[in-house]
Amino acid sequence: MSAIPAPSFPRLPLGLSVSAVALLLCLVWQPAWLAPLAIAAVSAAWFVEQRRTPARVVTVLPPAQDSAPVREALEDVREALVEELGHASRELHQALDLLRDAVSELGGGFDGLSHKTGQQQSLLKQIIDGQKDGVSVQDFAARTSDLLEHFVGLIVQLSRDSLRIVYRIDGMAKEMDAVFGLLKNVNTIAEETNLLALNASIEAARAGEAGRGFSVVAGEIRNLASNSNQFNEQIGSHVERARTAMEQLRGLVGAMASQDLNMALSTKGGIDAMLAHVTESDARTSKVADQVVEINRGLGSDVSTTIRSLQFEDILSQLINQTRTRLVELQETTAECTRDIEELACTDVEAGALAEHAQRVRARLSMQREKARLRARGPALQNSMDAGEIELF
Amino acid sequence: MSLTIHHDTEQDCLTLQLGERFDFTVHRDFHDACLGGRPARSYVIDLGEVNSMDSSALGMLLLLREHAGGERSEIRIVNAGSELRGTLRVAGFDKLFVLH
Repeated sequence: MSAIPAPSFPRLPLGLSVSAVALLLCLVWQPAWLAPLAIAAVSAAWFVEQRRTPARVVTVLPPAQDSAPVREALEDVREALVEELGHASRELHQALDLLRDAVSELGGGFDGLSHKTGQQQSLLKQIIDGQKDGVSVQDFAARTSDLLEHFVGLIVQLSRDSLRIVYRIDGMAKEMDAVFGLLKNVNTIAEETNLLALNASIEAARAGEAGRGFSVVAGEIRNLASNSNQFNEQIGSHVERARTAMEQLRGLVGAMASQDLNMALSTKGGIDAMLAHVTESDARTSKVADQVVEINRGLGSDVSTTIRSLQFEDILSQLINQTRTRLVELQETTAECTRDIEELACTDVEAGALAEHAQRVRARLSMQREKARLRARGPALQNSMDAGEIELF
Repeated sequence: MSLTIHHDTEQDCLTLQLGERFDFTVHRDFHDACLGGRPARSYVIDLGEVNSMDSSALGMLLLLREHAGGERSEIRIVNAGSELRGTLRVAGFDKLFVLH
């Protein structure tokens, strides 16, 4: 449709006549100020003329007999649009299904993960508790150390008592020496007695018959002295043997008193080193266990956050559904509107019907807009993932 | 001589300087030096030269402690090397004597 302004033939004579009058006036009567006045008058006349005649619009309608290709083209457009919109709607549906499946699988996976994390944590707790309750290596080493000290104490006491015995034996040996010394005195007495007896028997022999009895007594006394000497020797040899035995005993007890303590010392050193090592290792283990517990806790919280984040499926489903509804409506609207346009384009219609059609198309569009507006106002869509907590344990 | 004795009569303090070995071989000298007669008021056992010691040495020290009055005794063990110190500690002597 095109509106062409009609040529302004009726204006031409008026403009020409005014211009001619002005020219004549200029030629006949020629003061200097007349020319601009004349030009102003001419222009004013032309302007007034221009305003008085409105532009006439002529609608050129395409001839009805050439409408078949246009109709066909419009038909194609409509079909293509409707089909595309249908495709889009179906694809959205498919996407929704895929999303649902994927999210449910993800949810299952994360539930499993969270369950296993919990199990791991409880196992770790058992291990830590077990370590605290049970007999630790530290305890064992401490007891061994106590035992060793007790053992060393016993050895030292044994040494002390052995020394005490040794000192007693030394005392006894001194007594024995004293006995030995006394025995020597006894020996001297016996020898002197023997000498006396010898002298007595000599004197008895000199006395003759009168000294016979005395000689017998002197002989007996000599015998006694000799016996006493024998006894003395026997006692001396016994005492000597007793001394030897005591010396042996002294050696034995002395050996008992002399125990090597180096073994105990090195063992003690080993136990101390072990204790230090175990203490350090215990501290390290408990530190690592604490860290693992902390990591597990973090893992649990991460998993719960992730599961909560999976709620995006709901939001996305709502959005996709809404988009699908829009598409379906758009499909209908497109069909109706293109049909109307087709009517307009292809049939010979008068101005009234044309306006009616245009009105219908506009009304249809505004209805569609109103629907969209109402939908936007409807049940609010969730916009954020942060809302709502999920308690896992 | 494996055992040197010095008696400070003014302080009544008996100092025993041990030789290289403090073991059963010195038991008689040890007895004669400090276990026989009247106990001194205080004792100093110098282990500076000792490099080997067995349980009889500890036994002698215990006997000295008993002789000197047990809990009331005043016996200081000085100049002990780290090894001897360890032995004395294992035997609990750090609680019975003053270790320097």
